[in-house]
Amino acid sequence: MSISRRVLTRSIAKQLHEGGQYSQLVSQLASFIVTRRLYGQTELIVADIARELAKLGTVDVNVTTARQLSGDLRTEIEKFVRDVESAKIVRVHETIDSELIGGVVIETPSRRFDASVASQLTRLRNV
Amino acid sequence: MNFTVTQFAQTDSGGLLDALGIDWRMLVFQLIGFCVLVFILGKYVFPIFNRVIEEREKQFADNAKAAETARKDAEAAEKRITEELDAAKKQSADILEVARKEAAKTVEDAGDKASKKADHLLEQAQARIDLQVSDAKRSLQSEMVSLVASATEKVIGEKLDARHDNELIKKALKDAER
Repeated sequence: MSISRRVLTRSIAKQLHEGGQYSQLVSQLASFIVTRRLYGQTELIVADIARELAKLGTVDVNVTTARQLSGDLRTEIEKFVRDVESAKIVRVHETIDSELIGGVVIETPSRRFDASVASQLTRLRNV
Repeated sequence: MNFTVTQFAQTDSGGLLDALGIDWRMLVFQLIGFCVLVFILGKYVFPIFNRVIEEREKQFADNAKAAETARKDAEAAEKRITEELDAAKKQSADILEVARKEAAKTVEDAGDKASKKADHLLEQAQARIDLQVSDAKRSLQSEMVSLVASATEKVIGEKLDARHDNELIKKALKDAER
Protein backbone atom coordinates (compact mmCIF):
# COMPACT_ATOMS: atom_id res chain seq x y z
CA MET A 1 0.00 0.00 0.00
CA SER A 2 1.46 3.34 -1.01
CA ILE A 3 0.95 6.50 1.00
CA SER A 4 1.58 10.09 0.00
CA ARG A 5 4.37 12.20 1.40
CA ARG A 6 1.84 14.49 3.00
CA VAL A 7 0.13 11.66 4.83
CA LEU A 8 3.44 10.22 6.00
CA THR A 9 4.81 13.52 7.27
CA ARG A 10 1.54 14.25 9.07
CA SER A 11 1.64 10.81 10.69
CA ILE A 12 5.25 11.12 11.81
CA ALA A 13 4.59 14.63 13.16
CA LYS A 14 1.59 13.38 15.12
CA GLN A 15 3.58 10.51 16.60
CA LEU A 16 6.44 12.84 17.54
CA HIS A 17 4.01 15.25 19.13
CA GLU A 18 2.43 12.45 21.13
CA GLY A 19 5.87 11.36 22.37
CA GLY A 20 6.54 8.50 19.94
CA GLN A 21 9.93 6.81 19.89
CA TYR A 22 12.23 9.10 17.95
CA SER A 23 14.70 6.49 16.64
CA GLN A 24 11.94 4.22 15.39
CA LEU A 25 10.24 7.07 13.52
CA VAL A 26 13.54 8.10 11.97
CA SER A 27 14.08 4.52 10.76
CA GLN A 28 10.62 4.42 9.24
CA LEU A 29 11.18 7.72 7.49
CA ALA A 30 14.57 6.59 6.18
CA SER A 31 13.11 3.38 4.76
CA PHE A 32 10.32 5.37 3.15
CA ILE A 33 12.84 7.71 1.49
CA VAL A 34 14.96 4.81 0.28
CA THR A 35 12.00 2.78 -0.96
CA ARG A 36 10.53 5.69 -2.84
CA ARG A 37 13.94 6.95 -3.98
CA LEU A 38 13.12 10.39 -2.57
CA TYR A 39 16.71 11.25 -1.72
CA GLY A 40 16.44 14.69 -3.28
CA GLN A 41 13.36 15.55 -1.20
CA THR A 42 14.77 14.67 2.22
CA GLU A 43 15.01 18.28 3.30
CA LEU A 44 11.49 19.00 2.08
CA ILE A 45 10.14 16.02 3.99
CA VAL A 46 11.88 17.14 7.18
CA ALA A 47 10.51 20.65 6.68
CA ASP A 48 7.03 19.20 6.14
CA ILE A 49 7.28 17.27 9.39
CA ALA A 50 8.42 20.41 11.19
CA ARG A 51 5.46 22.34 9.74
CA GLU A 52 3.02 19.61 10.74
CA LEU A 53 4.54 19.58 14.23
CA ALA A 54 4.14 23.34 14.43
CA LYS A 55 0.47 22.98 13.51
CA LEU A 56 0.11 20.56 16.39
CA GLY A 57 1.78 23.01 18.73
CA THR A 58 5.31 21.64 18.83
CA VAL A 59 7.80 23.95 17.20
CA ASP A 60 11.39 22.99 16.49
CA VAL A 61 13.41 26.15 16.36
CA ASN A 62 17.00 26.62 15.23
CA VAL A 63 18.71 29.42 17.12
CA THR A 64 22.07 30.64 15.85
CA THR A 65 24.17 33.03 17.92
CA ALA A 66 27.78 34.16 18.02
CA ARG A 67 28.15 32.97 21.61
CA GLN A 68 26.69 30.36 23.93
CA LEU A 69 23.13 31.24 24.98
CA SER A 70 22.62 32.05 28.65
CA GLY A 71 19.75 30.36 30.48
CA ASP A 72 17.52 33.41 30.73
CA LEU A 73 18.12 34.34 27.12
CA ARG A 74 17.19 30.83 26.04
CA THR A 75 13.95 31.16 28.07
CA GLU A 76 13.21 34.48 26.44
CA ILE A 77 13.73 33.01 23.00
CA GLU A 78 11.40 30.10 23.82
CA LYS A 79 8.79 32.57 25.02
CA PHE A 80 9.24 34.65 21.92
CA VAL A 81 8.73 31.62 19.67
CA ARG A 82 5.76 30.46 21.71
CA ASP A 83 4.09 33.85 21.29
CA VAL A 84 4.91 34.25 17.64
CA GLU A 85 4.04 30.70 16.52
CA SER A 86 1.25 30.11 19.06
CA ALA A 87 3.16 26.99 20.09
CA LYS A 88 2.66 24.83 23.16
CA ILE A 89 6.03 23.15 23.07
CA VAL A 90 9.21 24.81 21.81
CA ARG A 91 12.29 22.73 21.17
CA VAL A 92 15.40 24.86 20.76
CA HIS A 93 18.32 23.58 18.65
CA GLU A 94 21.23 25.86 19.34
CA THR A 95 24.09 26.61 16.93
CA ILE A 96 27.06 28.89 17.49
CA ASP A 97 28.43 30.81 14.53
CA SER A 98 31.02 33.51 15.26
CA GLU A 99 30.47 34.92 11.78
CA LEU A 100 27.26 36.49 13.09
CA ILE A 101 29.45 38.79 15.28
CA GLY A 102 26.48 39.37 17.55
CA GLY A 103 22.71 39.12 17.72
CA VAL A 104 20.60 36.10 16.90
CA VAL A 105 19.02 34.19 14.01
CA ILE A 106 15.83 32.29 14.86
CA GLU A 107 14.41 29.85 12.31
CA THR A 108 11.02 28.18 12.77
CA PRO A 109 9.37 25.92 10.19
CA SER A 110 7.35 28.84 8.86
CA ARG A 111 9.55 31.91 9.30
CA ARG A 112 13.04 33.26 9.82
CA PHE A 113 13.94 36.05 12.24
CA ASP A 114 17.37 37.46 11.58
CA ALA A 115 18.64 39.99 14.14
CA SER A 116 22.33 39.26 13.71
CA VAL A 117 24.92 42.01 13.52
CA ALA A 118 26.37 40.40 10.37
CA SER A 119 23.07 40.60 8.48
CA GLN A 120 22.56 44.21 9.58
CA LEU A 121 25.99 45.09 8.30
CA THR A 122 25.20 43.29 5.05
CA ARG A 123 21.96 45.26 4.72
CA LEU A 124 23.93 48.43 5.36
CA ARG A 125 26.41 47.50 2.64
CA ASN A 126 23.55 46.85 0.21
CA VAL A 127 21.87 50.19 0.79
CA MET B 1 -28.94 118.75 -154.38
CA ASN B 2 -30.68 117.25 -157.14
CA PHE B 3 -29.92 113.76 -155.84
CA THR B 4 -31.43 114.51 -152.42
CA VAL B 5 -34.60 115.73 -153.80
CA THR B 6 -34.80 112.65 -155.88
CA GLN B 7 -34.46 110.50 -152.88
CA PHE B 8 -37.30 112.18 -151.02
CA ALA B 9 -39.34 111.94 -154.05
CA GLN B 10 -38.87 108.25 -154.19
CA THR B 11 -39.87 107.91 -150.50
CA ASP B 12 -43.01 109.60 -150.95
CA SER B 13 -43.84 107.23 -153.70
CA GLY B 14 -42.34 103.81 -152.27
CA GLY B 15 -42.82 104.16 -148.55
CA LEU B 16 -40.61 105.14 -145.68
CA LEU B 17 -38.66 101.86 -145.53
CA ASP B 18 -37.73 102.17 -149.02
CA ALA B 19 -36.80 105.71 -148.36
CA LEU B 20 -34.52 104.56 -145.59
CA GLY B 21 -33.10 101.86 -147.77
CA ILE B 22 -34.55 99.04 -145.66
CA ASP B 23 -35.87 95.99 -147.18
CA TRP B 24 -38.96 95.12 -145.17
CA ARG B 25 -38.68 91.43 -146.09
CA MET B 26 -35.19 91.39 -144.86
CA LEU B 27 -36.36 93.22 -141.76
CA VAL B 28 -39.05 90.67 -141.05
CA PHE B 29 -36.60 87.93 -141.66
CA GLN B 30 -34.11 89.52 -139.32
CA LEU B 31 -36.84 90.04 -136.71
CA ILE B 32 -37.82 86.39 -136.89
CA GLY B 33 -34.16 85.41 -136.67
CA PHE B 34 -33.71 87.71 -133.76
CA CYS B 35 -36.74 86.26 -132.00
CA VAL B 36 -35.50 82.76 -132.67
CA LEU B 37 -32.13 83.79 -131.36
CA VAL B 38 -33.68 85.32 -128.28
CA PHE B 39 -35.79 82.27 -127.78
CA ILE B 40 -32.84 79.93 -128.15
CA LEU B 41 -30.70 82.05 -125.93
CA GLY B 42 -33.49 82.36 -123.33
CA LYS B 43 -34.24 78.71 -123.48
CA TYR B 44 -30.81 77.15 -123.56
CA VAL B 45 -28.04 79.64 -123.06
CA PHE B 46 -29.23 82.14 -120.48
CA PRO B 47 -30.32 79.45 -118.02
CA ILE B 48 -26.82 78.06 -118.15
CA PHE B 49 -25.39 81.50 -117.61
CA ASN B 50 -27.90 82.14 -114.85
CA ARG B 51 -27.09 78.82 -113.22
CA VAL B 52 -23.40 79.48 -113.46
CA ILE B 53 -23.92 82.95 -112.08
CA GLU B 54 -26.12 81.66 -109.30
CA GLU B 55 -23.59 79.00 -108.51
CA ARG B 56 -20.88 81.57 -108.46
CA GLU B 57 -22.99 83.82 -106.26
CA LYS B 58 -23.75 80.92 -104.00
CA GLN B 59 -20.13 80.01 -103.99
CA PHE B 60 -19.22 83.58 -103.17
CA ALA B 61 -21.81 83.62 -100.43
CA ASP B 62 -20.55 80.29 -99.11
CA ASN B 63 -17.01 81.52 -99.32
CA ALA B 64 -17.97 84.68 -97.53
CA LYS B 65 -19.81 82.65 -94.94
CA ALA B 66 -16.86 80.31 -94.62
CA ALA B 67 -14.55 83.27 -94.36
CA GLU B 68 -16.80 84.74 -91.69
CA THR B 69 -16.89 81.43 -89.85
CA ALA B 70 -13.13 81.12 -90.18
CA ARG B 71 -12.73 84.64 -88.88
CA LYS B 72 -15.00 83.90 -85.96
CA ASP B 73 -13.16 80.62 -85.33
CA ALA B 74 -9.88 82.45 -85.51
CA GLU B 75 -11.14 85.05 -83.06
CA ALA B 76 -12.45 82.34 -80.79
CA ALA B 77 -9.18 80.45 -81.06
CA GLU B 78 -7.25 83.62 -80.33
CA LYS B 79 -9.49 84.31 -77.37
CA ARG B 80 -9.09 80.74 -76.15
CA ILE B 81 -5.33 80.90 -76.63
CA THR B 82 -5.26 84.17 -74.72
CA GLU B 83 -7.33 82.64 -71.93
CA GLU B 84 -5.16 79.55 -71.88
CA LEU B 85 -2.06 81.68 -71.81
CA ASP B 86 -3.50 83.70 -68.94
CA ALA B 87 -4.43 80.48 -67.17
CA ALA B 88 -0.96 79.07 -67.79
CA LYS B 89 0.60 82.27 -66.48
CA LYS B 90 -1.61 82.12 -63.41
CA GLN B 91 -0.83 78.44 -62.96
CA SER B 92 2.89 79.04 -63.28
CA ALA B 93 2.59 81.92 -60.83
CA ASP B 94 0.70 79.64 -58.45
CA ILE B 95 3.33 76.92 -58.86
CA LEU B 96 6.07 79.42 -58.19
CA GLU B 97 4.23 80.67 -55.12
CA VAL B 98 3.74 77.13 -53.83
CA ALA B 99 7.38 76.33 -54.55
CA ARG B 100 8.45 79.47 -52.71
CA LYS B 101 6.25 78.60 -49.75
CA GLU B 102 7.49 75.01 -49.73
CA ALA B 103 11.07 76.17 -49.91
CA ALA B 104 10.47 78.57 -47.05
CA LYS B 105 8.73 75.84 -45.08
CA THR B 106 11.55 73.41 -45.82
CA VAL B 107 14.07 75.91 -44.58
CA GLU B 108 11.95 76.57 -41.51
CA ASP B 109 11.47 72.85 -40.88
CA ALA B 110 15.16 72.25 -41.29
CA GLY B 111 15.82 75.00 -38.79
CA ASP B 112 13.30 73.55 -36.35
CA LYS B 113 14.69 70.06 -36.86
CA ALA B 114 18.22 71.23 -36.30
CA SER B 115 17.11 73.12 -33.21
CA LYS B 116 15.25 70.10 -31.88
CA LYS B 117 18.19 67.85 -32.62
CA ALA B 118 20.50 70.23 -30.82
CA ASP B 119 18.12 70.32 -27.86
CA HIS B 120 17.88 66.56 -27.92
CA LEU B 121 21.65 66.21 -28.02
CA LEU B 122 21.92 68.64 -25.14
CA GLU B 123 19.33 66.69 -23.17
CA GLN B 124 21.14 63.46 -23.90
CA ALA B 125 24.44 64.95 -22.85
CA GLN B 126 22.85 66.34 -19.69
CA ALA B 127 21.25 62.97 -18.97
CA ARG B 128 24.60 61.22 -19.47
CA ILE B 129 26.28 63.70 -17.18
CA ASP B 130 23.53 63.28 -14.56
CA LEU B 131 23.81 59.51 -14.86
CA GLN B 132 27.56 59.63 -14.48
CA VAL B 133 27.28 61.94 -11.50
CA SER B 134 24.63 59.70 -10.01
CA ASP B 135 26.79 56.62 -10.64
CA ALA B 136 29.78 58.35 -9.10
CA LYS B 137 27.72 59.38 -6.06
CA ARG B 138 26.31 55.87 -5.72
CA SER B 139 29.73 54.36 -6.08
CA LEU B 140 31.15 56.77 -3.53
CA GLN B 141 28.26 56.14 -1.17
CA SER B 142 28.60 52.40 -1.58
CA GLU B 143 32.31 52.62 -0.94
CA MET B 144 31.74 54.77 2.12
CA VAL B 145 29.06 52.44 3.44
CA SER B 146 31.32 49.49 2.86
CA LEU B 147 34.12 51.24 4.71
CA VAL B 148 31.78 52.19 7.53
CA ALA B 149 30.40 48.66 7.67
CA SER B 150 33.88 47.20 7.75
CA ALA B 151 34.93 49.60 10.46
CA THR B 152 31.76 48.91 12.43
CA GLU B 153 32.23 45.19 12.00
CA LYS B 154 35.77 45.46 13.31
CA VAL B 155 34.79 47.68 16.23
CA ILE B 156 31.76 45.59 17.18
CA GLY B 157 33.77 42.37 16.82
CA GLU B 158 36.28 43.75 19.24
CA LYS B 159 33.90 45.54 21.63
CA LEU B 160 30.82 43.30 21.69
CA ASP B 161 31.12 41.05 24.74
CA ALA B 162 28.65 38.41 25.96
CA ARG B 163 26.74 40.82 28.15
CA HIS B 164 26.23 43.35 25.43
CA ASP B 165 25.35 40.59 22.99
CA ASN B 166 22.67 39.28 25.37
CA GLU B 167 21.24 42.78 25.70
CA LEU B 168 21.29 43.18 21.98
CA ILE B 169 19.39 39.92 21.49
CA LYS B 170 16.81 40.80 24.16
CA LYS B 171 16.25 44.18 22.60
CA ALA B 172 15.79 42.60 19.17
CA LEU B 173 13.25 40.13 20.58
CA LYS B 174 11.33 42.93 22.25
CA ASP B 175 11.33 44.99 19.07
CA ALA B 176 10.08 42.00 17.10
CA GLU B 177 7.25 41.34 19.53
CA ARG B 178 5.89 44.89 19.12
